[in-house]
Amino acid sequence: MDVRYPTAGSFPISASLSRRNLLRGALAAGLTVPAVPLLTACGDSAAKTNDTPGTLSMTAWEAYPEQIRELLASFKNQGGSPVDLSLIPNVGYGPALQTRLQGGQAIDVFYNFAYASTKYVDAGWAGTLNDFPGAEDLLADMFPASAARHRLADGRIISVPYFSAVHNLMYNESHLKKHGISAPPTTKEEVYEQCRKLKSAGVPSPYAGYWTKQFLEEYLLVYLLADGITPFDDKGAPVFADDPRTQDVMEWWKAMYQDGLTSKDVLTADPGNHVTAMAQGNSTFFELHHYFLQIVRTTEGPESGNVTILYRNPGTAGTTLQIGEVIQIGAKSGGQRAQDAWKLLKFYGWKDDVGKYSTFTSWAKAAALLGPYPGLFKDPDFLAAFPSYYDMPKLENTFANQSDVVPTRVAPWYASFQVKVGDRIQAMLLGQADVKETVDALATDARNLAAAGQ
Amino acid sequence: MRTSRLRTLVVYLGFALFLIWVLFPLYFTVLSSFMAPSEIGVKPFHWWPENPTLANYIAIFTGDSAPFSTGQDGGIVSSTDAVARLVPAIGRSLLVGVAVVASNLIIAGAAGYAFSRYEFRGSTVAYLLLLASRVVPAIAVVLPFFVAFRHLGLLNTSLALIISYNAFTLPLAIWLLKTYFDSVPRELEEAAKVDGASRLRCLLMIVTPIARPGLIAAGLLVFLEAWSEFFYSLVLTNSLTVPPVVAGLQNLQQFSWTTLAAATMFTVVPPVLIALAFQRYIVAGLAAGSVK
Repeated sequence: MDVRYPTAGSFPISASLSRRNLLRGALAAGLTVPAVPLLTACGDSAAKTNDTPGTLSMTAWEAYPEQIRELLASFKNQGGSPVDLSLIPNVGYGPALQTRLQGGQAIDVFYNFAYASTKYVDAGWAGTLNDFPGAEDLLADMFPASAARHRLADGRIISVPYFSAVHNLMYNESHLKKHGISAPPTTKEEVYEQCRKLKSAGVPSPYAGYWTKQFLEEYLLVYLLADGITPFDDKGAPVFADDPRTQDVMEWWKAMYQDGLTSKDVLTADPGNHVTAMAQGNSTFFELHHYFLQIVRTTEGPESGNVTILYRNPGTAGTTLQIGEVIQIGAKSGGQRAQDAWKLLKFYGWKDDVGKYSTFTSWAKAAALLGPYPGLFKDPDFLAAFPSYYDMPKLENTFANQSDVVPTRVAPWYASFQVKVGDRIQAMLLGQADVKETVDALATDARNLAAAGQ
Repeated sequence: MRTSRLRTLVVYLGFALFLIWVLFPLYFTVLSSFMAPSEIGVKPFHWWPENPTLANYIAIFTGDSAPFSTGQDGGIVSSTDAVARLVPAIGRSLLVGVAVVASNLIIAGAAGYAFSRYEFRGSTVAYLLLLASRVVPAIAVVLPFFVAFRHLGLLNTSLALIISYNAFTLPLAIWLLKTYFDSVPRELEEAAKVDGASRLRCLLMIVTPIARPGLIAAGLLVFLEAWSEFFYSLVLTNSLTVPPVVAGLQNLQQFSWTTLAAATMFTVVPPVLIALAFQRYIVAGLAAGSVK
């Protein structure tokens, strides 16, 4: 064996099998493993389309997976293609889906958040639907106000509905009677007065709302629409800032928080907290999507059965926000495969092969979710599937006449605006910014983001 | 005397407050895991479950995602099947964690030793570059990984996670082990060499046993990083490991806090047990090189 003695500053002993090289190799491996993906994967081409019919791939978020699988089985039974389902948790769905599509994965059909739908088409990840047979019929079957979520102002049809919902005020009937309030509020001033009265009577947090940063944008629109304020014009300009009533709405909102009419943790609490507060009688009012009534009712609490819903949101106009998420077709699907994917889209977001709203009936049964189609409210199966404590004609009226999807919400820049709204409104509620300053800043944000297109 | 007592009292009070601050979230999670959902958020706060229940834990084993469904008119249909996937996910997380630790200790052990014992042209730069790679957020390089694994057909496999986790755990492990090897006297290896031991034999028979605390500390840190990693598992697989499965228990429509709490307790147990088993090595491993 060849042994050399160490010299200063190093230990250069080398053995016959060149173990120095072995160790250097290990060192190199340690250095290069982190770099491998960077070296291998830059600039992957994503332009090819897949025209081959076969098993479709679908990506959805993890909500009611058993129902999704049943629906896909039903689709196959009706002559549709088999579908390979990939589920991603709601938390992180957007970034995960975007990474997969950007990374060149071919996904034929995917759930998406409505606010991201235009961006996905513009990025070349989702396709338009105008050329598919029946696309116009699908839109014509919707409530006119709802169609604006799926057809852009330039005429492109970008998505079909996954589900829809409206914001409503839920309230505890028994609480109101017990504290001498004869009727639920019809204006925001009455909401404030009733909450004051309830608070004095010992209700800890009379008003509940999901006022976290991510959801404040929905509430901004809900409160503006309730007082008849147009948030954005047809071109997406923030005209709410020009309406003097906007400041009244904001003052009311700030007072609701600063006068202690909500829980102290309302800016961070998740809906589960508010549902419990309603079920336990710690809150009397709860503003959120209509389907939360089902969750309050099925949460075992002493007050769960006393909670009902106000179908006209308190405000001078009584209009509310109609929300909903969407399903899109992957841009990589072509030829017959695209036709098969479109068939799945129609089944999943409209009617099945025999003309029934079977998907929406399934969602109604599972979670009291709605779809934006008047026909649903005439469909006996759908109505039977919906929980009986909902007044369906009133809910239909809210959809048809007293709600707005605010088409600007699908603009490519809107997601960034939502983030700004969260920051600015929370600052206002906390007293870190005054009302006028907040309104002006929001309008500036919207203009700047729209101009930048992001 | 009085001042000394007062000082002690203040120290203990501060320590007690610190303990409450650290342990209360854990206590709340344990408490919630034995409650029905209707008891969560009740005012005044329940410091002990009114009607303690094992239903949340049983649900984990039976895969029942809605153990408290009332079945009333419009009764809740579970919004997730994540509970049913939790136990298999724990198994896969263990597999991935152990594989990442094993590969890290082999590669980082050799690389750390090389950095410690060899000086070559550019070794300092290489070492600094390695440390600098820790500054790059892992999320920033997930896309190249995704593309590479798509081409290799490795998406939705444990191997994809093992390879990618190695990329961001190796620098940490190399740094820790290099520091530890620096504290091992070279004279021991020199003596062994004089007695005829080869370089590899020195490493395996002399250095490795002495460096056991460092290897265990590095292995444990690597395991914890692999165990709790969320985003790569979310993007590269269909929720194969624990973090995305647990995340699947949350959504807007239903937030089953009590089931989530029980699931969290399950997922906390393996790393805590491992940490307890090896705790005596951890401090020694991490403190290596602090005293000459």
